Amino acid sequence: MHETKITKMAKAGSVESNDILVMISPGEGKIDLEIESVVYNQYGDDIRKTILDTLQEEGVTDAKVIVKDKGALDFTIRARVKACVKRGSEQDEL
Amino acid sequence: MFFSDELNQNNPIEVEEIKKFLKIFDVDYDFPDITYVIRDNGEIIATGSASGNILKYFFAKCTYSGQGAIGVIYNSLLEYIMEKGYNSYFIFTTPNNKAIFESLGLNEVYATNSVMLLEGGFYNYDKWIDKVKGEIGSKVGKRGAIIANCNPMTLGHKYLMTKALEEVDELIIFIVEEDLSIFPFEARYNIVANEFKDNDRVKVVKGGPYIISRGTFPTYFIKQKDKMLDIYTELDAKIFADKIAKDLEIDIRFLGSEPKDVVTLAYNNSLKRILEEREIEVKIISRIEKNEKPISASFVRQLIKEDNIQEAYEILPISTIEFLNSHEGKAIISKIKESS
Repeated sequence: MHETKITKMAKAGSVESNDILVMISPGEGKIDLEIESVVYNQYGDDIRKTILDTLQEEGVTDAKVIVKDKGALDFTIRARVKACVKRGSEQDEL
Repeated sequence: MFFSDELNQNNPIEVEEIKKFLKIFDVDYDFPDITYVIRDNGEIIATGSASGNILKYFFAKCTYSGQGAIGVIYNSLLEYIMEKGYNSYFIFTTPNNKAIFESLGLNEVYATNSVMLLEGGFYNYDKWIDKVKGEIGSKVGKRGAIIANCNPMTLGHKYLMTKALEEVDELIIFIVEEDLSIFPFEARYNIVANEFKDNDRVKVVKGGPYIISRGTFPTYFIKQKDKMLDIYTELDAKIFADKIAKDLEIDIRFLGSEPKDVVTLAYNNSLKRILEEREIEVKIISRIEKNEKPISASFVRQLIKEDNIQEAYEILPISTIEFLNSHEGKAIISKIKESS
C-alpha cells in the first residue's frame, strides 16, 4: 500500500452547519485524532471510524488530526479528510 | 451565503471603510497583519483580523448576526494562520462571547470577570505545561520563578537572578517568547541559558504563549481605557498563579523593582497582591545602579545606538558580550544603530 507523508499543516472544510473543519499536521509517529462534534454523543464513534478509515485509505499513518464537526454527513467527512491530506502532503513548488 | 475578502491595507478607501465600520463598536484599527471583511451590496457587514497568531476584531453588524458571518471570517483567518505555519492561535475577548468562540472550536484557557483567553490549533496549555515539567524535572526544594524579556540580558538581570538564587533551591527563568524585541527570542534565550550553563539549580525555560507580554495583549475590546492595565495584570497574574505556578509547584516569584516606571510599579503591586492571595510568595528585588543610573536593557540599547559599545559592555554579562561579538550580534548592533 502507498504511504502518504504529511509534511505541513493544512485545513479543509469549515465550521459552518452541516460541514466539518479538518486540520492536519505532521505527527509524532502515530495518528493522534481529536474530535469535537455537535453530535458527538450520538455519532462520535461513527465519525472517528470514518476519519480513521479514510486516513488509512489515503496511506496516512503519522499525523495529528483535529476536527470540529458541525453535523457533516459521512461523505462530507470523507471528502474533507481527503482534501486535507492532499493539501498537507503536497510539495511546495520551487 | 457570505464570502470573505482580504482587506487591502494599501488602499486608503478600504482602510477608511474598515475604520468607519469598527467605529460602530468603539474600536480603533491598528493595521493588523491581515484583515478579512464580508460585504453586502458593497458595504462591510462583518470583519476579523490576525496579528501574528492572535485573532482579533471579530465584529458583525447586529442585523446580520446569527447568519454565520463570523464563521466564514474565522475560516479565512485559519487558512492564513496555517499558511504562516503557526500551530496554534489565540483570541482575547470578553467572557460574554464565550459561546460564539467555543462554537468555532476554540477552547478556554482562562477567564477573569472582564477578559477571556481562548486557544485553538494543534498545541494547547496541557501540552505546553507537560513539556516544561519534563524540562525542569521533579521538585527538589523551594522553587522560585522569574519572568524576564532580557532584551538583551544585563548585569541588572544577572544580579536579580543571582539574588533570587540565594533564597531558593531551584530557580526557573521564563524568557518571554513573543518576538517584538530587537534581540530575537532565540538569542535572548541562548544568552541567559549560556550565562547559567554551569549552574544546575537554574532552569531557563521558553516562556511559551501563556506568559502574556503587555506588548501582545490586545486591548481594543476593553471599553474603559483606564482599566486596561488592571485587566491585563489580572489575567496575567491569575494565569501564572492558578495554572503555571500551581502545575509547576512554584513557591515564590521574584520581581525587579522599577522606581521610575509608574506602569511597572502599578503592575508589580497588583501582581504581588494577586499572587499573595493565592499563597505564592512575592519578593521585589531592587535594581542595581551604576553611576546612579539603573542598569536596564533599554539603556544598553541606547548606548549601542550612540556607538558607545565599550560603555555598554561594562553593564553586560560575558554571554551577552560574546553574543554581540558574534556574526548575528553584529547584525543586531547595526540594526539598532539604523533604527530611529
